[in-house]
Amino acid sequence: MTLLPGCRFAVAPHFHLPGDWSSRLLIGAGIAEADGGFIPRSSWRPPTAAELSVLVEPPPLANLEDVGCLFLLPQHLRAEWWQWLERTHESNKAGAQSAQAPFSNLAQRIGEFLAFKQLAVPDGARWDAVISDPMQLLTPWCLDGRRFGGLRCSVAPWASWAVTAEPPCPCLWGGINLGEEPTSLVVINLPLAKLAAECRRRFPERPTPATAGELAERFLSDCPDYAPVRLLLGAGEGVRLPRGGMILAGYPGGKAEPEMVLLISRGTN
Amino acid sequence: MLAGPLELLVLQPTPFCNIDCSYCYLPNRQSTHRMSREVLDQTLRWVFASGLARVPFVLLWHAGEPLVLPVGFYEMADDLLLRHNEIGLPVLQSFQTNATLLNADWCRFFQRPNVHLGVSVDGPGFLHDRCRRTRQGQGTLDRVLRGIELLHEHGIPFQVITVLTAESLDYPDELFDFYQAHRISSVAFNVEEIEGPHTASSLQRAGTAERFRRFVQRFLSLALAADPPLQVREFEQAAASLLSARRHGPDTRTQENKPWAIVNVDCAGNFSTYSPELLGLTSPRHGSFALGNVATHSLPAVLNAPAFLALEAEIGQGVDLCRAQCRHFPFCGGGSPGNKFFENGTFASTETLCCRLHKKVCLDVTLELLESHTAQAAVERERALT
Ligand code: SF4
Repeated sequence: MTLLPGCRFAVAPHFHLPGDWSSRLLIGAGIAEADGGFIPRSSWRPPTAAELSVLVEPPPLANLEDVGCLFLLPQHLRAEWWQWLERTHESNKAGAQSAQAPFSNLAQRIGEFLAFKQLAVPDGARWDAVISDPMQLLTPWCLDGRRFGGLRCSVAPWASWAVTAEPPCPCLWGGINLGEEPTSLVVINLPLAKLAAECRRRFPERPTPATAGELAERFLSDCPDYAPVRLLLGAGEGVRLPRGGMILAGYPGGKAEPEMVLLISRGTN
Repeated sequence: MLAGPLELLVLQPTPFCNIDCSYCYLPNRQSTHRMSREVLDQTLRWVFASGLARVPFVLLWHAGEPLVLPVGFYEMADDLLLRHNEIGLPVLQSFQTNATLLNADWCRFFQRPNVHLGVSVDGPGFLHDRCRRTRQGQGTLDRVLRGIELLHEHGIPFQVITVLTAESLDYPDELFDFYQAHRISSVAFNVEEIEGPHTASSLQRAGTAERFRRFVQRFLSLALAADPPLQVREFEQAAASLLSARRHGPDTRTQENKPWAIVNVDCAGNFSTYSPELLGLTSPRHGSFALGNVATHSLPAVLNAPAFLALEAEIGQGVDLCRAQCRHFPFCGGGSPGNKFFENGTFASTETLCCRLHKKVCLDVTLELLESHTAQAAVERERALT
C-alpha cells in the first residue's frame, strides 16, 4: 500500500552527511510473520519521488522532536570505540576484569559531542553497545535485546502508546552504527498514534490496544501490506528517533563484519 | 621618531590569484602584473638602506598567490637578498599559498633552510569548497589535498591557515578530524574579516561571539588532548601574550599598529606600513594608504610627510582608546588598524568583530584553560603529598 505520511527523516542541524536521500532509503514489500515475530519481506526498491517527499523533511526543520535526525560521529570518537574494544579484549584475555577502561568515559565524550551539536542525549540515559551476528536477518534496536524477536516498538512494550508528556516513558532515544561497514535500520514510518488510527480504520470494530507493545504487534499483524522503510547508516552514522517512538529493527543486510551499534535509551533508570 | 625595527616585510610578487575565494579582500586579484627584477632590487635596497632592518625579520610573499610566479623568480630574490643583506641578518622567507599549484619543483625549492610555508585550507569539502573556488565556481579542495600530499612526500613542514566563517563554527570535531586525516600538525585560524572590497562577514550575525567561544573551547580541548597535541597558533599566541604581558608590563603596541614594524610593498614598488590589507586602498580622508614608492621615496622623507604623520596620529589615538577602555589591552596591544578602519570607519576607535572574536575570545578561553590546568596540577600535587 501507499506510504502514509508520518515520521520523516532529516540530517540533524549542524551535521553534514555524505550522500543523498535516494541512495539512503529503500522501500520494502510488506511484513511477514516468522518464528512468532514480524520481519520485513526481503525485497527492496528505491523510493519514488512521492515516497521521498513523504519520508524526508525538507529544510528548514521546524519541529525537530518529531523528526528522525541523522548525525555522524567524528572519526576521533569512532577511533576511541575501537581502542576501548581492543583494551577490553586484552584485559578480558588477561582475566583482569577490574583493569577495564570504563565505557562511561567514551559515552561521556559522545554525549559531550552531541550536546555541542545541540542534539543532547537526555540526562541519565542508558548506553548499550550491542554486538550482533551480521548473519541474522534483524538485530535489536529496542530496550530489551534479550527478548528480541523481529520488528519491535522503540517505546517500552508495557508503556501506554498515548503517553508523550513528562516524564518520558522508557524508550530508545537513538542509535549509532559503530562498525566500519554500512548497516541499516528497518522502520515503519508511522508514529504510534498513527499506527492506532490505521488499525482502527481497517478494523473499526476491534478495541485499540492499550500498550505500545500490543499496538505494534496489532499493526504488524493487521497491516502486512504496509511497506517498511530501510534507512542506510554509514560507518559512524546515527539516528535520533522521533520523540513518540516507532517500530523498528536493525537490518545488517549482508554485512561481513559483526554488527556493532550503540543504543541510547532514556527513562530506563 | 625612531622607526621600526622591521619585523615583517610583506612583498607582493603579483596581485593575481588563480582562484577566487568569496571572502578575499584583494581588490586586484585579476591583475596579472608581476614584480619586476628591477622593483625587487629597489625594494630590498630600500629596506636595508632605511635602517629599519636591525633585527631578524620575516619576508612574507603574499597579497596574491605567490606560486603563480615561477620558482626562478624566488631564486633571483634569494640572490638579491643575499646581495643587499650585507650585515647578514637572519631573514625567514614565508610563503602563504593556496597550494593548488604545488609540484615537485616547488617542493624542491621549499626544502631549502629558512623557508616557512603556510597553506590555506578551510577543512572538509563542505566547508572549504563553499568559499574557496575557482573563477568557474568549482571547489579547489582536491587540488589542495594533492599539494599537501606532495609536501608530505617531500618532508616539507607547513602550517595550515583556516578561515572561519559562521558555518565553520558548528564543526570543530570535523575540522580536527580533517587535520588529523591529512597529517596537519600546526593550525592557525583567521576569521572572515570585513576588509577592503569584502564589506560584510557571515560572523556579523547575532550570537556569533558565543558560538565562536564554544568552537574555540571545543577545538582546543581536542587539539590539546591529541597525541601529539595539535599546535594551534591562537592558543600559543594567547598563552605567550598572557605570560609576556605579566613580565614586560602592559604598554607595548602590537606589530600591526607599531609604525614600520611591518613594511608592505606591492608589485609596482609602492609601500605602506601598518596592516598589510591597507596597501592598494584609498580613503577620502587619507588618500592612498601607500606612502611612497621604493624608487622615489626615502624613509626619512616619508617619516615627515603629512600623510604618514596624520595616519600615525589617528592610529595612535585608537591605541590610546584601547589602552584606556579595554581590559584585554595588555595582551592585545591595541589591535589591527586595518580592521578598525574597515569596520568603524576610523583608526581612532577600539573594538572590531575581528578583535572581539579572534583576540578577546581566544584570550579568555586560553586563560580559562591555563587556570583549570594550574588548579588541576595543584590538586594532583596535594594528592601526591598526602
Ligand atoms: S581587544 Fe580590541 S578593543 Fe581590546 S585592545 Fe585589542 S583591539 Fe582594542
